[in-house]
Amino acid sequence: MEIRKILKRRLKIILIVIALIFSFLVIRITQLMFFNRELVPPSPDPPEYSERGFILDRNNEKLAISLETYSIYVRPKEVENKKKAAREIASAIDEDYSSILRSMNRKKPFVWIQRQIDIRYTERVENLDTKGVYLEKEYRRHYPHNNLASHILGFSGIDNVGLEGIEYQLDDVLLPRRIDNKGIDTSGIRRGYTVVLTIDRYIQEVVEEELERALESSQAKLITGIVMNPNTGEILALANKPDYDLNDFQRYSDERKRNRAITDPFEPGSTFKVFIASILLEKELVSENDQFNCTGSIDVEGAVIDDIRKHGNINFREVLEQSCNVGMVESVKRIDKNAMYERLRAFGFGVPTGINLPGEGRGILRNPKNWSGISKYAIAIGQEISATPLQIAQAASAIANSGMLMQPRIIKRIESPDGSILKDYSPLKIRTVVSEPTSELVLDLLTGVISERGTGYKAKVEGYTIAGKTGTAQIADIELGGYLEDQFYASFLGFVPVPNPRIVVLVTLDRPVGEVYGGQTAAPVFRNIVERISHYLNILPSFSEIYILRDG
Amino acid sequence: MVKGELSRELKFDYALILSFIVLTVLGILTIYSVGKASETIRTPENEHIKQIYWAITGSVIFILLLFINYQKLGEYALIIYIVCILLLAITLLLGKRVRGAKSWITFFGSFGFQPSEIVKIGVIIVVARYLDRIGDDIKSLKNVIITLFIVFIPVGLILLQPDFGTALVYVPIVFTMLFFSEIKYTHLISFLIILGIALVLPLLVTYSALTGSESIAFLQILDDTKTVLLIASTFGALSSVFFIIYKISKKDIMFKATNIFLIFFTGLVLSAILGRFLRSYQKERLIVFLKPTIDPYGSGYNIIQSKIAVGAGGLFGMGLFGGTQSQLGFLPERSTDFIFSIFAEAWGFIGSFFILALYGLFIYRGIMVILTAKDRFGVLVASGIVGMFLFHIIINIGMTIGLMPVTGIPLPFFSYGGSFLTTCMIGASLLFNIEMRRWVR
Repeated sequence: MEIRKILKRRLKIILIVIALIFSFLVIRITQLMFFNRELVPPSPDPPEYSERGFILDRNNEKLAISLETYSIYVRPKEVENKKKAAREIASAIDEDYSSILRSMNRKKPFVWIQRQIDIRYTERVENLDTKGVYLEKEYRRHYPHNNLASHILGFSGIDNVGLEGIEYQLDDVLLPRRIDNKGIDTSGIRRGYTVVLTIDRYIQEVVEEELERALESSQAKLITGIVMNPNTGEILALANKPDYDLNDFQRYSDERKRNRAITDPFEPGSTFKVFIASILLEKELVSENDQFNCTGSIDVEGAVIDDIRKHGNINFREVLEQSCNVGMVESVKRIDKNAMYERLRAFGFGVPTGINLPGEGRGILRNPKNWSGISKYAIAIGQEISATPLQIAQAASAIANSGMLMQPRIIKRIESPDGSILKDYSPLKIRTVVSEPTSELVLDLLTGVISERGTGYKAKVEGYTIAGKTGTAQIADIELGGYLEDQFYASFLGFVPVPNPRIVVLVTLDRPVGEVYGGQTAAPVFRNIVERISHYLNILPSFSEIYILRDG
Repeated sequence: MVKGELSRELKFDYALILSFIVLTVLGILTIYSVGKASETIRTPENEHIKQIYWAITGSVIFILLLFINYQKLGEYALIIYIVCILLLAITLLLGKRVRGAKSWITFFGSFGFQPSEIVKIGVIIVVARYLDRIGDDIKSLKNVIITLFIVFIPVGLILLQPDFGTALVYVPIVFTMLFFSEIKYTHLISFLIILGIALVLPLLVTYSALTGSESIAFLQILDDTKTVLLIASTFGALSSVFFIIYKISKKDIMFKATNIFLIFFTGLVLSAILGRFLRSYQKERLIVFLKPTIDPYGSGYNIIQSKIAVGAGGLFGMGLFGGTQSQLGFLPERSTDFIFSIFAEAWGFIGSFFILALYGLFIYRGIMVILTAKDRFGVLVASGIVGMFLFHIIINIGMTIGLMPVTGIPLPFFSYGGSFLTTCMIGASLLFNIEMRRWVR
C-alpha cells in the first residue's frame, strides 16, 4: 500500500516530537521537585487577602467587623515530645489535655487542634514555641451587636463568603477576590472595602426594642418596622421580629433569616386608602367636603363590601379619619380602572423598589385586563393587591416628599480601608406621582386619623402634629381561597411631623392575637418609637400647642 | 472467517489495555485521597464511588464496541454527524450552566452528561470517513477547507456554550488526521501559522498589558479590534495586488507572495475575532502561566499552588494522604484539572515518572495501531484518537507544572468526570478494535 510509506515517514516525525515533549515534561518535573528552592518548603498559608471589609452605620459605628484569630495545627511527625507539646497547648487555650494528645497521636501528617481560637488566648498562643506546632492566621467575622439589623447585614460563613443580606449582596466589595492595584492596596491594609449603611444604629435599636416588646404582648407571628427619610429615600431603620443572632446564625432556620420587610408582599388593607385618596384628589374626582352616606355595607357588581359600622352621613375627610369602606368604594366609582392602575403603578406598586438587598419581592398589582368587576373596589380598600412593607413605605414617602417618589436606599457610601470615599450614593429621584398641593392636602386630611375622632388616636404623641393611617387587612386563605375569618394583618403608617415630614414610619403585625386592629396594635408601637427618636432626630415638639394645653 | 483468523483477531494488546486500566485505578485512588480530606475542607464526597461506576460503565461499553467492526461505523458517518450536532444544539438550548458554561445536559434530574466530550469521537469518525473517501484529493486546498468546515460546525456550537478549552481539543485532532492523510506540507504549515497567529496574538497583547513588560509594549496597539482589522486588510490588499501581478506576469514567486500575505491576512482576521470573543479574564487565564506571580491570588493562584504541590513531592512523595497542598485544600479542582499535582505530591518523582511512562506506552501502542491498521479509514480514526489523547495528556500535565496554559482540559482515564472517562474508554476501544482487525479481510 502506498499509504504505508508516507505513514512511516510521517510517523517518525511524530514519534520524535512526542519523545521530545515527554522528556521536556520529565525535565520540568525533575526541576520542580529537586532544583526549586523558592517553592520548597510548601507554604500552607492561604491567600493573605482574606479580611472582609467592615460594615458601618451612618455614624460610622461598626456593625460587622473582622477579628484576627489563630488556628492551631500540628504535624505529628515533627513533634519530639508529644505529651509536653500537648500540655503546653492545653494550658495556652484552656482545653482538655488528653483530647489534644489524642489528636496529636493520630497517624496523619496534619491535624487541626483548634480553629479560630477565641481572641483572649491570642497572646498565649503567640508565645507557643514548640517544634511541629503551627499557627495559622484566620479572620473571623464578628457582629458586635449580635441580633441588631440581622436581616439587613446578613452574615458570612467560615470560609468568608457572604451568604445573606448586605454580606451577600456586596460580597465582591467587602472581599474583592483579586487584588486591585488601583484603590485598595495603597494604604497597605489588606482588607476589603468598607460599606457604610444609611441605617442609624440608635434608631434601629429603638425600633427593634419596641418591636420585640410588641411581639411579646401581641403574640403576632411577625412584626416589621421601617423608618425612612422621605426626602432622600434613606432607610434609617428596618427590622423584622423574630430575628436571629448573627454570631450564631447556624442555629436558626432559613425562614427566620428571611428579610420579610422586603421579600414578602402582603395585602395592606386600609393603609392603602392613603394612595387611593391621593390619586382621587390629584385628579379632582373628589374633594374633602364631598358627602357620602354609609349604611354599613355596599353592593358592587353583585358582591357586598362590609364596613366596620354604620358611619352615617360623612364627608371625605371623615371617610379617611374613620376608615370608612363604603365612602371609599363610592368615591372610586368616579375613576376609570385603567387610570387608577396607571397611577398605582407610578407609586411603585407591582415593581421592585430596586433596593440593594437580595431577594426583593415585587408584590402583585394585576393588569386591569384581568380585573374582575369587584377588583377596583377591593383594591380601593387595600385587598386584591399586595405589596412589601418597603413598597408601602416608599410610596408613602412620595406623599411626604411633596409628591416625588424616591429610590429607597440602604447603602450610603463605599470607602477604602484607609477611609477615602470611593463611591457616594446620592438620593435618586424616580418620578413625581402627585402634585405638591395634593400631597399637602392628603397629609392634612390624615392628621385627622390621629385625633380623638380617628382610628389612629393611639398613635398620638404629645406636642406633635402627626399624620397617619391605620390598616386591618384580612389575610387570604391560601388553601381554601377567600379570606381567613379571624386572622388579620394590622398596620400603621405614620408621617412625622406635619407639615414637611422628616420621617415616615411603618409598623406591621402579622396575625396578632387578641387585639387585632391596626389602631390598637400597630399605632402604639409607632407612638413609642416616635417618642424615643424624635428628639434624637432633632424633630422638636411645637411649643405653641403645649402653651395651649397649659392654658386650657 | 477461518478459525485461525479468529484466534488472531482475539489477540489482545496487553500493553494497551493494561496501561489504561492501571491509569484508571490510580485515578480512582487519587480521587479517593482527595475526598478523604473533606474532614477539614469542603470537598464533594463520594466522587471516587461515582468514578468507579463510570469506570464499570465505560468498560462495558469498551467490550460491547469491540463486537462492532469499526468499518461499519464509517458507513454511519452521516447519521453520527447529525446526532453530534443535535446533541450540541440541545445542550445549548436545554443545558445546565455550570461555572459559566452551558455544557451539561441532565437526565432524570441528577444524571449529568457533557455531550461535547463524546462528540470528539463522533467528529473523528466523520472526518476519517470524509478523508478516506476523498483519498488523494486532499492535496487540493478546497478539500482541506471542506474538512475544516465539517469540524467547524460542532466546534462553533461548543464555542457558543462557551467552552474554549474543549473546543481547542479539536485542533490537534484535525491536525493529526490531516497529517496522516496525504495533505501537502505547505498546507499543513500554513494551517499551523494561521492558528499560531490567531491564538498567540491576542494572548500576547493581554500578557503585555498584565506585566507591563517594555519589550512587547508595542503590542498594545493591537488591543483594539479595529487596528488589527486595519492591518489585516492591508495584508489582504497586498495579497490581491500580488495575485494580479501573478496573473499578468505568470511568475511563480508572485503566487507565493500572494499566499504568504493571504496566510497573514487570515491569521489576523481570526485573531481579531478570537480577541473579541474571549473575555479578558479568559485571556488572562490562558497566558498567566508564563508569569503566575503577577496575579498570585487571582488567575495565577492555581498554577502557583499546583507547582508547589508537585515540587513538594520529592523523590518518593509525601504518601497518599500526606500531601499538605492536597489535604489542606489550597489547590482547587483537585479531582479534575489538577489531579496530576495531587498524584505527584503523593508519589513524588517515582510516581510521576511511572504515570508518564504509562501514558508514553499507551501513546506508543496507539501509534503502532496507526502504523498497522489495515485500511485508510482505520489509520485516520486511530490518528484522530491518538491526537486527542496526546493533546489532553500534554496540556493537562504541562498545565500543572506551569508549562502550558490553564484551559480546564482533564487528564485521560485519571481525572474525575463520567463523560470524559467514558469518552476515553470508547477511544481506547476503537484503537483496540482497529488493531485486532488488522489481519481480518
